[in-house]
Amino acid sequence: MPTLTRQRVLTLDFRARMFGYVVFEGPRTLLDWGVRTYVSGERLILEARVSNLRSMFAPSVILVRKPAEAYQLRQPMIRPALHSLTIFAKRLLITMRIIDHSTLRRYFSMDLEVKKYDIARMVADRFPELSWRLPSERKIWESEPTRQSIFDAASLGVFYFALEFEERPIVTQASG
Amino acid sequence: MPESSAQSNQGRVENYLRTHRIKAGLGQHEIGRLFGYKREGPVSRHERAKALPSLRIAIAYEILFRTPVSKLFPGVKKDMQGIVERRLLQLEGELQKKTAKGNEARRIAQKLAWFSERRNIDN
Repeated sequence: MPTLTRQRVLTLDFRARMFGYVVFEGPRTLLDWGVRTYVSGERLILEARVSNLRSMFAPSVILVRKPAEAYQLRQPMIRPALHSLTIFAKRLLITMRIIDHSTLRRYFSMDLEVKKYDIARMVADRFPELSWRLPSERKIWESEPTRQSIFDAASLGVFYFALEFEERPIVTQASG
Repeated sequence: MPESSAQSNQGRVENYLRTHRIKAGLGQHEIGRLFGYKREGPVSRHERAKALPSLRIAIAYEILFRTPVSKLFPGVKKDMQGIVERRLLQLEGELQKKTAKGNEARRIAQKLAWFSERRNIDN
């Protein structure tokens, strides 16, 4: 049985038509990360993408970041996709947890008003191998870059292991 | 959050090639070029454990990532460890049952001593 420090966890930041993923081996090691696309409504393609990651890294837990309610309303295909992923994980006997985006935001923000970018910066500081993929801070009129999804997935893993090891990562606000 | 039962179904990772490659920021085509392949296909197959690299390429991976082959391919190591240890036990059993005289007996004794020495190193 793997110890918690070597536990392999696959974290997914689920969006319509794509998901960002990060594979953790314990709290300090990343095995893989990236973005995968799928066709909305094509359950088999989504399953194949996740199954591919599962066969390569054999995680014991899959964590999924549930998008905001407003996003789910804008993208109605996301609910059935999430549902089919849950059934898929059940079929493979993998523990899957769905964590609400607001839980994550609340956890990282403490009393401060932190943005997604601040959390991404904290993730990049913790895992320097990701820092070259850190997007610049988004302006209000810009759309979110695809690679932000990797950092959202990574923050899920940081949250999971932080709860396990009872440590709280420090997120600071970007200056200026 | 996780419980021990969640950890028990963790499988094994066949190799850490992809992890090392993306940490370096290298593409499969670049590694393919370094190893003298025309395309990235063989590198992709090694990463997905669809094919095992030749000894020369395995050593090339070791040199490239500065990590021993056995650490790059823990799956292969585990497989071979199981097979070799099982066969060694079998061979040791067969030698212990054998009866011989003179030179042959000394040779068997030498082998059995080596088996025991090897076990002591492991412990």
